[in-house]
Amino acid sequence: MELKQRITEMAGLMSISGHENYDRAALLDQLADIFDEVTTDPMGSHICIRRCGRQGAPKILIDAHFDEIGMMVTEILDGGFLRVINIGGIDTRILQAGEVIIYGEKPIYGIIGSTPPHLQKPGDAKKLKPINELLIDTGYDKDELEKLVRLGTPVGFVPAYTELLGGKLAGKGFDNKACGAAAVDALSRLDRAEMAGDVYLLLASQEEVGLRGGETGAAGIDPDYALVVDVTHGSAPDTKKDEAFPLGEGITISLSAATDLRLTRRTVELAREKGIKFTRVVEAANTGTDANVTQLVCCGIPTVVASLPLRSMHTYQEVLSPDDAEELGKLISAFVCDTKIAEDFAR
Amino acid sequence: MLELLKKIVKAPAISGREGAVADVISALMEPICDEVYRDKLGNLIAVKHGSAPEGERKKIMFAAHMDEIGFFVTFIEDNGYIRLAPIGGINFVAAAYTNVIFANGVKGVLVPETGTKADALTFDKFYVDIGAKDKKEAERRVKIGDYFVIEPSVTRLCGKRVAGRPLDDRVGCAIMVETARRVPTPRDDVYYVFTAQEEVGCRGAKTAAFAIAPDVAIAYDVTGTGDTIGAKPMAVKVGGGAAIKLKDSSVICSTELVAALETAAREEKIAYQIEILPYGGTDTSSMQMAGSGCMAGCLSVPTRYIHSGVEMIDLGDVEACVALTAAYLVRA
Repeated sequence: MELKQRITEMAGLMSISGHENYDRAALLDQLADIFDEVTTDPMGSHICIRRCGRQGAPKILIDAHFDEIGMMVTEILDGGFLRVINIGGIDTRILQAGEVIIYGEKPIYGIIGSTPPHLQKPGDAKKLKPINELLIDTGYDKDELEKLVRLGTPVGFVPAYTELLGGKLAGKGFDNKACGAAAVDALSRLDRAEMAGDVYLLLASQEEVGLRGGETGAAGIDPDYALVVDVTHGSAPDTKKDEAFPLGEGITISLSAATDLRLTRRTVELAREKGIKFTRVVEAANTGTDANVTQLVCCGIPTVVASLPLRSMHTYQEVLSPDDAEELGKLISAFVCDTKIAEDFAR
Repeated sequence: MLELLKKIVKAPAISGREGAVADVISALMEPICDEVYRDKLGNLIAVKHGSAPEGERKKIMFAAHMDEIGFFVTFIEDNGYIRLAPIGGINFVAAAYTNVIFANGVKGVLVPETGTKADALTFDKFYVDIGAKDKKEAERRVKIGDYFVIEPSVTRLCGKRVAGRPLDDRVGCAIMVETARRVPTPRDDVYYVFTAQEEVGCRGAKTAAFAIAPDVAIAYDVTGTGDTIGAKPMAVKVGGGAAIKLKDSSVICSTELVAALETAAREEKIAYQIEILPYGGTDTSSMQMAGSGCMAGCLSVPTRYIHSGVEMIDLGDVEACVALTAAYLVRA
């Protein structure tokens, strides 16, 4: 299967924080024949194990959080309208007139209503409506809607994907399932004998609401060392050079006080050896990823972070380049196969 | 239930100083549990072993926090007035001009400096007047590091409504004691954990859950409501039944557990409501994330005026929490 297809298939699953099990059957299909074991822990993280076949081999953790931002129903109103609150850091500016799916008894299509310019009061255009003042228009009657939707029903963006010029992709859920798909794709191509240890791909839950599933997941696995893969900002004419990175020019590797220096150095060296396109990025004290918690579980886990540039993050039209995802896959392969890292970091 | 609640609210116990209330609860749990002990952080843990054969029993952890918000004495002025530091999220508007009581029984009044405007009520503007004529007399009664709380009370109002403090979270403790009485022979192992230091960051529940490593965890705590004048829109109301939490700022409750609680409530016709709290945190998150994690949820008692001296609840909701927990234990 092409990586592009893997990315849109995984991104298209419903996996709003706290509901990472919703599309579990479809996820298992996507992971079939690649892993020896796929389990789901009590926090909803999916742990996918691919063994190298040798006794006493190190445990290598690849963390790619699987949850995505979304919303949750807080009120069902007359006329078939719903009120919601956000799950994770939704960019509220993009919501009005957006299309959503309400994951009730059956999936329901909805439109986030907006006040027409004619009906706005002076000054309204300059104000941003907070999310709890927005109304989702379902077209149903309240009575009918109440049979299908309840308080707490998750609401997500429509999985529709567009290929832009140059092969780039636009759609929802690339943060961070594009990285998960890149990891699955890379591992599917690896010969087990090449792997320097048993690989634990942690499709972690609840990253978007506070790095939660990555913490408990890593604690349950207690790996010898870890690579955390997540998205970073893609550059545009209005972004700064040190906070966003061009699409199509590869991935980033984080230099941070919050990651392991030796492991990072070796990963950078490895990327150079394999001709992987990458940039080093300084994230002084905090990478803003699951690595913050991964490195602190159990007795401490040496951790390195690699990231995939993504434009318009936390919207339903995130944009990435599949070429960058290929580079990320190459790094993941090189990382799990590197015997030097295994020798240095196996406990 | 009211008598039980009155007994449990009486002992002052700020975060980190839970001993007095632990003594009261311990005496209540000892006759009905197999094991009652305290851990190093000050949690009180009462264990009831299940009736199912070894290896077929789940570990179920219930948690309600014993600690309450309050104050430490930081400094005694020459004129005998006592300065303080807050422990937990004090509402200083509600704290102004209240009766306070120290752990050693000394009483006083908590007041802001004369002339302080309502919007400038911060802890450094407050002092306690115990009526001492000077520093020397004050020091004979109170010393730096002593703690005090706004005086506990429980007042019966209309119907099943009760107001007082600290209902947060002695009402949760009462629910657990009553549940233990009502379910004398659970099938699974039940750990009733009366936690320490919730008000300062849900700390006790984290270490207790790490040690116990439960399969399922349920917290019992108060939650905000949308039924007062000026309240932000929220579907939870006092008297509407046990509130099954879906989320607050610190947790997204495990969907399977939420579903199991809802099923139990529907089948037993127990009044319940769904709680989606846009702020706040409880022991739920600490338990869910301890060690390698567990399935966690929360049953809340809808409460008006939280962290004031007049927290208000409905005993019907409290009863619903007990009944729902008992119903869940049968089905777990």
